[in-house]
Amino acid sequence: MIRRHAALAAAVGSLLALAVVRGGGGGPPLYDGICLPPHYLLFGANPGPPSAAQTYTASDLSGSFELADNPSTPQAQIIVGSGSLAPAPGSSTVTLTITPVAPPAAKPSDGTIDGNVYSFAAKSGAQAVTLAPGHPATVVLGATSSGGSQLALERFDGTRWIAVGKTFQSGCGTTYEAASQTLGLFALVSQGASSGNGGTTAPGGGAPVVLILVVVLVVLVLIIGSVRLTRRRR
Amino acid sequence: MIAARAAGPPRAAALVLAVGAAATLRAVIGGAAPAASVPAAVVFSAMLAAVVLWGGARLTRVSWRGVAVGVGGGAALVGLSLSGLPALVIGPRAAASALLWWVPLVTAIAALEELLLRGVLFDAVRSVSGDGVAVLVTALLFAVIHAPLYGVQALPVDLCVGVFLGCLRVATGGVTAPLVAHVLADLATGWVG
Repeated sequence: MIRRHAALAAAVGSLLALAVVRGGGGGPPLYDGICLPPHYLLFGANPGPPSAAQTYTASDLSGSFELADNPSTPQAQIIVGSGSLAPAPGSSTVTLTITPVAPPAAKPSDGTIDGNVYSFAAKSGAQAVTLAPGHPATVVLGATSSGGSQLALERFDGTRWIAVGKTFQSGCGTTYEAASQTLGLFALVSQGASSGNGGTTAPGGGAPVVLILVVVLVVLVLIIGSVRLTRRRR
Repeated sequence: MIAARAAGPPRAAALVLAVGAAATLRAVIGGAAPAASVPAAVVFSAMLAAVVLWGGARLTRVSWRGVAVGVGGGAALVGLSLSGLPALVIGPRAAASALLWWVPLVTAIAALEELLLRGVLFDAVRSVSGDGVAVLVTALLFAVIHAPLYGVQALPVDLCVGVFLGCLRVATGGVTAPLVAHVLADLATGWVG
């Protein structure tokens, strides 16, 4: 009976610990199952993809923040670090917007656009605001499918599409992110297998597999050690 | 109801190896997106089923107390999972037709994980080292086999969930409660979270 009460108390304690480490949502999934890639909303379809706009004060801008077109299953998201954006002279706020837009006439030279083109913009009053030098923002875009072609995040510079550094794959494998020093038009571009432009890094990579092997080895050693210890005592 | 019976201490090492092998194979087959790979999930669940049978799982009567505790535990996990999300965004993530294959597969994986971790492996470790070590070992394995799916940042979360499910196992004396809690939580959070 005491053992069961202790177990129930420990269960409550583990729930409290879970609440602490998980925080207020937005963390990793609790355990497993099969990820259900959210239904992708294409520009021009009905329902279409949502837009997002948020105004930040100077106080807000002194810390990190993020904006997503949908808090639960975002297709477009931006994470801005402290000091990346500042109000223009004469203004006290910055408004950040994410808007799905029609793709420019110019096509990427290294592949095809996957999903929507999104405009990430910041304004302070009527004035456009740029990211501070050395303070890139992380742009996150959802893809229409997973596990297929290699996808890279690219930005349209007004005349052509250019890769935005290294693209990382995250979440269930349908989300891609990269750090960009510039706001503007962004899209995921299906690179094809042979392209070396941009490239994608999977979330787990090799590390978790190695982690599994290391933990399994450690647990094995502990079990074997325990068995030997128990037998000696007998 | 399927339950697991005790396995001898020498089996613990083999069971740990088998869990590690199944998780590694899932990660390898899943490639860049193991959490979204149905083939990887099918192979993983088949390997778990084989290990559970080899480990000594057998059919027993349903423990209604275990079911009740499991439903409560599942509700607590779902509540914690959804608590940070705005109510407006909680809803079905995919087309209802996906239920036909998604529900059975998710249920199978969650149930098999419990029959293996909180069932045969728990009994094997407990026979050597007691309840506390069994809870910690199975929670650690539970956390680490999910790292390829959600990244290393998910380890603390999954470790807490693993300890919670292990405590349900100790509190009820059987695998029914953690099994029910795990299945409910995966189905609910996966579908609407």
